[in-house]
Amino acid sequence: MAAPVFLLVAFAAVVGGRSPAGLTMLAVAAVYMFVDLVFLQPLVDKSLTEPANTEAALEEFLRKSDSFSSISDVAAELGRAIDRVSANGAVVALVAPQADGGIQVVSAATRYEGIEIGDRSAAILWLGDNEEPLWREELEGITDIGAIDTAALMDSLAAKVLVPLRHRGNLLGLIMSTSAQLRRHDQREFLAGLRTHATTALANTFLNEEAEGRDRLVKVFGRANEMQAALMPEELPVYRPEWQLRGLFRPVTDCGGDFWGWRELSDSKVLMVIADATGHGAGPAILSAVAKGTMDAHAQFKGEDCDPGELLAVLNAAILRVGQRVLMMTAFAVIVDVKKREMVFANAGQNFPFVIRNNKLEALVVRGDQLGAKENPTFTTEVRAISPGDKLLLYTDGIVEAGEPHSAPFGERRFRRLVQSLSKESAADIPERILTFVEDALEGAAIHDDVTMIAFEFVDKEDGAKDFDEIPATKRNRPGQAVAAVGPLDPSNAVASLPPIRPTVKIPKRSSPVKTVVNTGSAADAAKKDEGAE
Amino acid sequence: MNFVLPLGALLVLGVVWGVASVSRSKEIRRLRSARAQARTVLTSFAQTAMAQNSQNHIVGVAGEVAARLFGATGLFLINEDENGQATCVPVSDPIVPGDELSFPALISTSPNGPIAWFPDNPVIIFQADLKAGKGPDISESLNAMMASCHVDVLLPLVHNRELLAILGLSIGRAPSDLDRELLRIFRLEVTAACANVHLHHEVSHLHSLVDEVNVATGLDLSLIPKEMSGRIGKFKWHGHYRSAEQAGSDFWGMYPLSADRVLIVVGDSVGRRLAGAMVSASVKSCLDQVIADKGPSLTPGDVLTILNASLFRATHSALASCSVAILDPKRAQLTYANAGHLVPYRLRKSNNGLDLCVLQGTGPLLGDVMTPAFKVRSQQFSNSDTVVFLTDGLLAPRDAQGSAYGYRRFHKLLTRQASSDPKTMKESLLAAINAHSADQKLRDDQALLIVKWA
Repeated sequence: MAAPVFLLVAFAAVVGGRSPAGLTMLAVAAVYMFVDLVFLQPLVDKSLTEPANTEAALEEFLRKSDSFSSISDVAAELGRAIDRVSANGAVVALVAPQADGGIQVVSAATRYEGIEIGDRSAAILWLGDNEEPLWREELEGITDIGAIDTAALMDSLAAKVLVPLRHRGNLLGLIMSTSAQLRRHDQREFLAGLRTHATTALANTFLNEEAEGRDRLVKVFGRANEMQAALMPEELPVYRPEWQLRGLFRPVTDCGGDFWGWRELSDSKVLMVIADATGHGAGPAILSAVAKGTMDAHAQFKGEDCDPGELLAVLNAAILRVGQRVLMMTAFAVIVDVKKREMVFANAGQNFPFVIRNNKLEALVVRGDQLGAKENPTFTTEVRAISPGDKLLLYTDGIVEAGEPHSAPFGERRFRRLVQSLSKESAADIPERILTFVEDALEGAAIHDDVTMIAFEFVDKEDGAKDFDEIPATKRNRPGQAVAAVGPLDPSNAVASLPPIRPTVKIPKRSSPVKTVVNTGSAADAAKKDEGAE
Repeated sequence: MNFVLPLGALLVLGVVWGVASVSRSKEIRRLRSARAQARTVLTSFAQTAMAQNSQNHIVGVAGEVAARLFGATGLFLINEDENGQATCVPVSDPIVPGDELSFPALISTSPNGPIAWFPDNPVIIFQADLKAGKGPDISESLNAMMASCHVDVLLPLVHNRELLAILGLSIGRAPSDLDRELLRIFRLEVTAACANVHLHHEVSHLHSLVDEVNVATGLDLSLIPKEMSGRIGKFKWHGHYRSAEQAGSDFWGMYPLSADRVLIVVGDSVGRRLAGAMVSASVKSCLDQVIADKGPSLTPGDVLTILNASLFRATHSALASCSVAILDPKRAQLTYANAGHLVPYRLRKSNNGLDLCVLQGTGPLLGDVMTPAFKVRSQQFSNSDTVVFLTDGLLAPRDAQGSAYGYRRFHKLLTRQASSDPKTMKESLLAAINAHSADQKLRDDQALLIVKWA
């Protein structure tokens, strides 16, 4: 700043007197200007361009806010930030409304320890609509009970300014400071910034505390998921000389509500059950465990006398007892007798499975009440023929409704075409191929329900014997040996090349020897049912 | 003297000095004004971002702010997907929240690359610094990541040492000091807002898990009674169950098989909480059905064999221990078998006072082997005999020094309570065990069944 004076004096001395003093002054001015230009100005510039105190205080608060682990940390850092911009060492208290209607005062200052501030619910209610900082004197003369209560709250803490902290419509806390300053424009800007950052910090601190037990619970569900998998049959293909079987279970969450099981009732009879409890999660998973235990006991006890309708009745009693009509279950049970070449089946509100026969699909249409809905439900046991080469696919609705609720479901029609396109595949491959195809078709969209399938194949005698011989003897029993990796299926070719589906139903009927209600309708009735199922 | 030369030099210096000073002063005013405006924009952004419900929406708003403050021509969100792959998603301009997820581009990153490095080093990376050799050790990977996304600034969004995402900005120039300062604040604000959304999701997930556990607990309780007493012939019995957590893994039951026989079951699934509760539910349901189907003809060995067949798989079976007994009050006989469970105790008055022994013999855990052999034994009751079935949760509570209640204390306790009736005995046993652990939270489920010739 002295440079212009030096310059003027030097100039006057040189022009006026041309004295040695003038020359000296001239030299000094030149040196000063040089030093100022090269050294002093950059320093001054730096200080002038650095963030102001208020800005630095805000940045510091923001930087530290990620490490707050409690409301006390927030209060302490707020105190430091306000202290930094307020000359007289403002004490800060953070007042947080509690769920029980009380309020909690948190401060780094000992002067607030044990202070009684009484019931200030009127103030909290009134401040719930307020977003701007309030100075104590602004409350003078306001007769609203909320404002009066707020004034009393501020007085109890000797606060001069109050800043409400609101997040998503909730009043999380109040910054109360004893500083009488904070009125300049830049300080008001500071308070506005502090309010924003403190609100975020406080919200995140509360949420952090609330979410604390989540990781532990997630682990609990992870272990439950492993246990649920252990309660289901192994998913490797099962090979027998006359049949093959493969199941697949993919829960949408850690615990699924689907269930599948199978059991050899005799040398020629195999029981398969697929079930889907209401919803998914821990409750339905318990229900599926109940179904598993019940099915195992009943099937072991009955052996080859097991009847699908009777089994569903037994399952109904168990689900009704445990689910108490709040949680229910759909299920389909089928017993394939490869010696008699027939399938006996019953349904409890489950999707109709498909029989893949001569490249055509037939639905196993039979209806029955859901499990756990009624004390005396009706389950109709039906019988149909099965021939070597026929395949059977049982599935829950998760695969058909895949894509929902965020996009269009994969759909029944596409699913039928897909299944039909896989008619040449072995049962050991079908479930995995279906799942891969549907996932590809959804282009990354999540499947929002459990997916469960069972594929069964009555192996054509010639081919079947050959296939079975190729499997090492040690791997013929459970668990079977997985077949060679299956190549990817091109979704566009698979579906585009398929002819439109015309369901054909050929149903041999017989009277059922079992105790449940037997449908003795004609084949034409069954065909009508199939059309209805469409 | 010739003054023309020095005077001329002085005048030139004065002009240079004056021009420089004026220009600096203008620059300072511009900088301060730009900072003030930018700070206002950032404060307003922080407020807007905190009202958003998803990370994509926050990034959308951040893209607008980055374009305004830094002249950013591109904003990219770099995330780690479920398979551990880093994907780069361009946030289009104008930004349509949600749109950006349609075009993920894979970025090749090594296990020690930026995704793993940023959580411990949440600093902004400028390509200009990397080119000038001022980058960290992993500059090469960072450069590769920037090149994949066509960005020159990387802003890691790190909360609680967890990388939420990386924002990539394309500003097309070397950053000024003000850019660096504003980007620091910008990064912190985007991080705080994303962390808020993240935490809201975590809390809502937690609530849904808690709801699920509550539903499961309700089902668990409908399968396993908490407290029951009864009498069969000369025998009195009392059963008790308490789970350490909401859903427990112990189970017990008392089933009349016929008018004069009763089946006693006490067991414990391997696994705790939900996992254990699932196995218990399966075993208990299997048991219920076995009794409903087979009823009077059952033996303890039959029961264990059927339960074992239900749980057994060639690999990774669910496991449970179980003690099964059939009480025939008319003959005063107890037939029993055991699958890896704590052996039951028998208390009998003798000439020497009181005789405490265990009902010996055990087999493998349920689900452990395909065809186990469960040896069935029998025991004749005498007048005032007591048999106690229990799970290990009764022996597990620890005192302040960490010492478990254990067998020794339990045996002493049993002998002291020998003359009590089953309910009183149960209450005394639990009172002593709870006193040992100073009524701390249970660490394991407890099931207890006492049968006494009254």
